[in-house]
Amino acid sequence: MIVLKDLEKSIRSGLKKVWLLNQINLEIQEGEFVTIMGPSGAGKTTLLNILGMLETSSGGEYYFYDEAIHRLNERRRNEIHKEYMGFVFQAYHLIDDLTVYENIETPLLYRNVKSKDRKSIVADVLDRFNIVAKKDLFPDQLSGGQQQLVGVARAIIHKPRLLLADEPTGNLHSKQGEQIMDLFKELNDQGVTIVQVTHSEKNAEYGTRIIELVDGNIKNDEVIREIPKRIEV
Amino acid sequence: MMNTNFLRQISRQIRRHPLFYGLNLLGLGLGIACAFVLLSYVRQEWSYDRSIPDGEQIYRIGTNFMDMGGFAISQEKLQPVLQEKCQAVAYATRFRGSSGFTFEADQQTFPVDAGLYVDTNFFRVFPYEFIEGQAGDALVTPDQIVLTEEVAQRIFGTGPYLGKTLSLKDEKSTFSVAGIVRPFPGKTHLPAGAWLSVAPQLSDDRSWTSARYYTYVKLNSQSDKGNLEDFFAQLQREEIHPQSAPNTSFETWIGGSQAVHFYVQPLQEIYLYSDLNMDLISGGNPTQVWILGIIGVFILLMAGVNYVNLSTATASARAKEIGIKKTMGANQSQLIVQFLGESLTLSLLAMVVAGSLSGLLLKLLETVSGEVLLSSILDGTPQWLLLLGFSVLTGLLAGAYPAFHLSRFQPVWALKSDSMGHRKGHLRNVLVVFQFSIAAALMIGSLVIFRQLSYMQNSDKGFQHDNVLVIRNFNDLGTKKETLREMVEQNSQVVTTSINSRMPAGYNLWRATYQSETMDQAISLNGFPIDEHYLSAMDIKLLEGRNFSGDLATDTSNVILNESAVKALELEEPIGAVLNDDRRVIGVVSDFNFESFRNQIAPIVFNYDVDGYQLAIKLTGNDLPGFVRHLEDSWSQLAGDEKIRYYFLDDNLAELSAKEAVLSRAIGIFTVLALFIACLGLFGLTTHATSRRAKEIGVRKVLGATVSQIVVLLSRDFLSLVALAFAIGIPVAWILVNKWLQGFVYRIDLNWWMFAAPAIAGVVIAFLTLSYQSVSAALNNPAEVLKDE
Repeated sequence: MIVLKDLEKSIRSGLKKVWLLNQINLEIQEGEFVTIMGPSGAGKTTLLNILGMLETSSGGEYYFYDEAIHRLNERRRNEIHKEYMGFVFQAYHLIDDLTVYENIETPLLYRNVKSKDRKSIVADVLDRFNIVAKKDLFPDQLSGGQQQLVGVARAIIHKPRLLLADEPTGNLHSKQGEQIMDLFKELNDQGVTIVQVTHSEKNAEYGTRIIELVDGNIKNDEVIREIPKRIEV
Repeated sequence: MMNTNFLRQISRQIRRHPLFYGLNLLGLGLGIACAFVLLSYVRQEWSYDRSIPDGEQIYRIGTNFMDMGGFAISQEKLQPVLQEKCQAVAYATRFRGSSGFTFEADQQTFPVDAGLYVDTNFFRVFPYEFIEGQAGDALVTPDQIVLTEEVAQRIFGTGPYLGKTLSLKDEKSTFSVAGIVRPFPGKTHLPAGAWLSVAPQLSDDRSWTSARYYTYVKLNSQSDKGNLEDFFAQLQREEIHPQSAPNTSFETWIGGSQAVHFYVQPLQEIYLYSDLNMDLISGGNPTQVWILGIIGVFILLMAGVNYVNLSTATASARAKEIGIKKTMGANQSQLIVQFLGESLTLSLLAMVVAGSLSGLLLKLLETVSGEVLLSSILDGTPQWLLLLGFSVLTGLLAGAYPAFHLSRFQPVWALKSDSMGHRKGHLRNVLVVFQFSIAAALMIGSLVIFRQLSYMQNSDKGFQHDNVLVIRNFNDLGTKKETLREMVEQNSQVVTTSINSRMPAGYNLWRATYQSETMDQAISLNGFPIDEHYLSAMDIKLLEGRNFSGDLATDTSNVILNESAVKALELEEPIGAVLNDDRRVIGVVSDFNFESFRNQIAPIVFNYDVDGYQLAIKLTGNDLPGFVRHLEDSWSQLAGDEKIRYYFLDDNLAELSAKEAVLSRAIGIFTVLALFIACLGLFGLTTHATSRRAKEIGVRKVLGATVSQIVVLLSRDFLSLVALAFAIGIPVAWILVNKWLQGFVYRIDLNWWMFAAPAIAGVVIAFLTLSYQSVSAALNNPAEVLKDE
């Protein structure tokens, strides 16, 4: 699904050039649940953002389903991003002015889904995540765990093939964190490829593979479990 | 598919940030209202006579002969000459104005205040739509009349009206209705109400030097103004010159005071640009139209700037949302649509505010300026479309920058950064400077206009004009004139009385040609026929020689000059000098401003004439109402039914500066509004800036900063912007007011304080605007601010 060859990301800092990522070579198969770990400043989030096409690399090659992303223009990159990717943030990043329902609906609006279809898709997801009763509340009326639940619901509403999560449980206490990780596991079992960034060893154990980044280099890459067989739903 | 989620979102945001949106709505609404009122006024002033079919082919001919100045009326014989000899002319018409008619029908009287005496070509040149009758049949005999439908309805009730009869009050003649017309839909300088035949008034006057009729022509479609002007050049050379001055060369004649000139005025420019004497209605004021139109555009820009500034200043609050939406798959164009949708929604809300404010504003403008500048505001579809157009345009223009600016944010960056408001501050600063520069120029401009106005109203004009009452129909008393004068003079309030035929500021055409011995050619000068009391009644200073004397019969051929006339007649020793027709100069008076301050004081020749048609009464001013009662009593004893008509000289002088008075007050209002809009924007920006710096303020206070130090810290940046704005606005204003003042021969000198005072006032007002936010921020308890770290 994903192939990175000698991927680099550098930024100019004053007169110096700083490498955030250096010569990254990586392959991710469909159905994997990859955890990226490493100390602060190792380049975890940068890697995640590049995979998610929110940032561009400054060198090397990135193939997504054999398409050379590093050669595409922004419009085409956005299209791929839009079609295949879902994002979950540490700080949830829900839109304050929109209700739970509307927040979840937002990705569908940008994909021009018809109003009738939108209704049934959102209703489906609300049901599946057990948040039907909360649908008319605003984000600030929810607990952190509930907000992240909405965040995940929003990230998968358009059935992405790749779910990218940046410290999804970082702002949650452990009980809520477990709930989110269980959800991730379940999504992965259903065939969604997941890449998460985390500091937590415990969260890493939900995945199939752990990549350790230090100073922009891959220090360790270890498969800890087999890719689950896809459970059809 | 259009995504309408933003409507829901914006309504929630309005509820969440009422101050931000309240300021924006008020500012935008007020700006749109100002621009709407001002540009509606411009539109109205430009719309005159544009609804007349083929109007661009219609011209009026004005004339000037004997150096009397330009007149809107022209010679009686001009119309037949044009109709018969000018190839370019399809139809020529001549007509006379009327101050109105009083009709009688069924023993009832109906005043109609708009009427004309016209010839049979009139309705060919001006194709009014005939509801009854036909243009070709109307007014072919003098006992016919054409009415507008509205007038006919008022007099006769229901139609059809054709053939019904009415008569003119106080006249035996009756008229039968020969046509009913519908007035032109738009504004026009032509009065429309009733049309009578001009034929009975025609006198077969063949002179080129008398004028009584308005002459309008409609050119045939192949001809233009140039053809008409060529015709007049030829007419002057081949007909008028040989007839009137066969012994002088054409060049001498055309350059001298005996020449006859013509003006060709396009119909659609008459209202706004014609400044000829005897115009049908007092025309528009192009300077005022331009000034107010430009102010309208600038105020709208200022309101738009507020929107841009407040939107970009609060960008940090929106950045997160943009980042999220982009991550969720929104592309830039979808976000642009959202932001433009928001600004359009806001501007449509502002339109509602503007619609309600514009009526109030118009009322305010009318009350303050004392003139109906604009006859209607939200009247008819075009006006509504204008308002809608303004609002949509403002929404798009004001929304465009924030939309493109905000939607360009890179998602990662937008999500990370919570300090977007700090960035791009340059543009906001530039825009604040822009706003206050305009406000500064307006403040200075209105101050200068106000000073010039009060100079015109209050400065010494070289004569005394207060407490002077003038009876204009004094001549109606006939042989009893002297009796009334004696009765009046018995009143203890009367200082003196003077019989004359011309007062300062009055509308008068007394002119005659004079020539001194040293001059080659006579020149045309103003004549003031006066008696021996005139100079003392008006307190006009005699510099040399003597006044007229009632005892000397020879004084009828003597004259008194003002200083300008002495110069114009090239007299070195004026007293005793002899002019043409044995007129001897017996006195010289100092110059006085008897016309507008726009004009150089003109030369005056005073003649001795005890038989003038009006009586000027100089009063002590102790009890004016008492005197007026006394006067009216005396008058009615002598004159019977005839009503007295009089005016106070001061009122007539005020007319001379009426345009400036209206302009001064109108600009005053819009200056205040512009400043208010600029301050609204400033208030919004400081609100944002102080909330952004709340933590910094808290820390500084903990470290020992005093309240005043904090206030200075918070105000300094914005105040220096305002000061910079004045530094830019002052030279701009200087250029503009200087140019405006050039229009006056007698004008104030520009003084440094006229620029300094508005600048100081502007900075103080800006500081007061800022201080509410900065003081309350400075007074906050730092613990409150810092605790939610």
